[in-house]
Amino acid sequence: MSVLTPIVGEVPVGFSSLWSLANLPEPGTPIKVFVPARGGLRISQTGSATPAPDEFRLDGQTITLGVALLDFLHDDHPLVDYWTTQFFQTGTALILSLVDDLSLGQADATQVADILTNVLDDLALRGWLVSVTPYTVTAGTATYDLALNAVSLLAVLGDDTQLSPTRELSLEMLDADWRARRGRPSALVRDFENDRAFRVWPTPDVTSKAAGANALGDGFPTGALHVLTLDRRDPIPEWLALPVALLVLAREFVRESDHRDVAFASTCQALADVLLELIAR
Amino acid sequence: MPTTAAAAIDLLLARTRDPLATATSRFLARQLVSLAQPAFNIAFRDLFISGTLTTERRRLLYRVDAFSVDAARIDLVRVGQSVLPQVPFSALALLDRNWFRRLGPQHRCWAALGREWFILYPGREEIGTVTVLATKITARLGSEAAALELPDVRQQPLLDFVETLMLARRRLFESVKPTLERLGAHLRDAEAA
Repeated sequence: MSVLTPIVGEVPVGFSSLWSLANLPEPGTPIKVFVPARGGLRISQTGSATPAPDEFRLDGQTITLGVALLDFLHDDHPLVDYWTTQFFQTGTALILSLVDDLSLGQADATQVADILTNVLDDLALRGWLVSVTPYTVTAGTATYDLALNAVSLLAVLGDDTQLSPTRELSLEMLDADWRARRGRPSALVRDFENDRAFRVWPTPDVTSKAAGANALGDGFPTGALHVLTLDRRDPIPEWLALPVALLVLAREFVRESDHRDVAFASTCQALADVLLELIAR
Repeated sequence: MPTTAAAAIDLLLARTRDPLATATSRFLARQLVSLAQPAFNIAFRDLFISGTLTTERRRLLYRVDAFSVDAARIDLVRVGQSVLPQVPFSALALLDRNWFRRLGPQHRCWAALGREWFILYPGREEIGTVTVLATKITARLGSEAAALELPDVRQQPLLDFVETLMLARRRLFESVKPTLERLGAHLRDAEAA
């Protein structure tokens, strides 16, 4: 049984130690652990009839394994004598770890990082991962930037209306002075030269109010926008980690390199397609 | 079929002629089974979770994880004994451009917005409850003692899938081809079941 002492440095994935309830310090005693990037801590009961693990997603920070965890161990499951802990990875770190494992260390880390970004962009367009982002509207400001991880704009919701998509040309034909119009936005105008921003029309004449506690309900911020986007997500849900890792491997091993392996790439692509087809049903 | 992660790993290692796990660690084999199995349940919908979601005043848009973090996709929404019809999100916006703040005496339908959000249309002035049925994200196989949740007929293609991946990782492509074909056949069996 390991002694419950501070763990210094990066904790390897799969690191496991057995703790005894009797050895735990009092709740509130800080124990420093360093969790891998995008990682977490899994705590399983040992010798229990129901060994369902409990997981803490800590997302890759140095954390103080103090109050919350120890309170949990002491108070929530006082009858369980032993616990195993294991660090695990989520999101990008999990994908990169899978790519490294499945490629037997051959994949080029720099290339893989770029490929992963492209794969996540493509995945976003499948429409599974949607973000709903509130935007504060400033009176007199018509153009707003999309979030950095937004891949595609799905819809913009005004106060109570889904703004109708339109083109500058259409507005120009209807009203030569359209840019000067002020009022409550009713249309969404995309600029083809800048797909990282969108314009609302007419230009808002009122600055939005602050959101209340139930921002999507009765605390809705009057005058604000809610922007629906398809996102490059990090961390992505874990059920997408394996297909993403396989798509990365397919692209990494089909490109010209000293480790090019078309047979491996095409198998990875075929297996990724199987999973994506299953998920899409 | 295996009932635990350990039994599944033993089977996979035997099939790939690596009983001592020298080419593929038991940890990696377990991780691959664990990460692959959610897709099989999302497709075949064997395991569900159901529960009650408390709706908020004047709110239409809800995160799926507000209902359950283990929900992969909402399949059915019920108010009392009435099952609400599902409409595509695109149709909702076409039918009512003011859908986002529309209120009514009761919810009439629901729409999925990707896999992580859903819409109860219209919203209500009062707090209420709806019953939600969702496809479950299979639990992570946190240890070798963890149980495989999928029924036998789905485990066949799941294990074929992981076996193919373990073989491809070792570049045993002559063995990959028949396992890929077996995977296809077992997927067809699973669909027919």
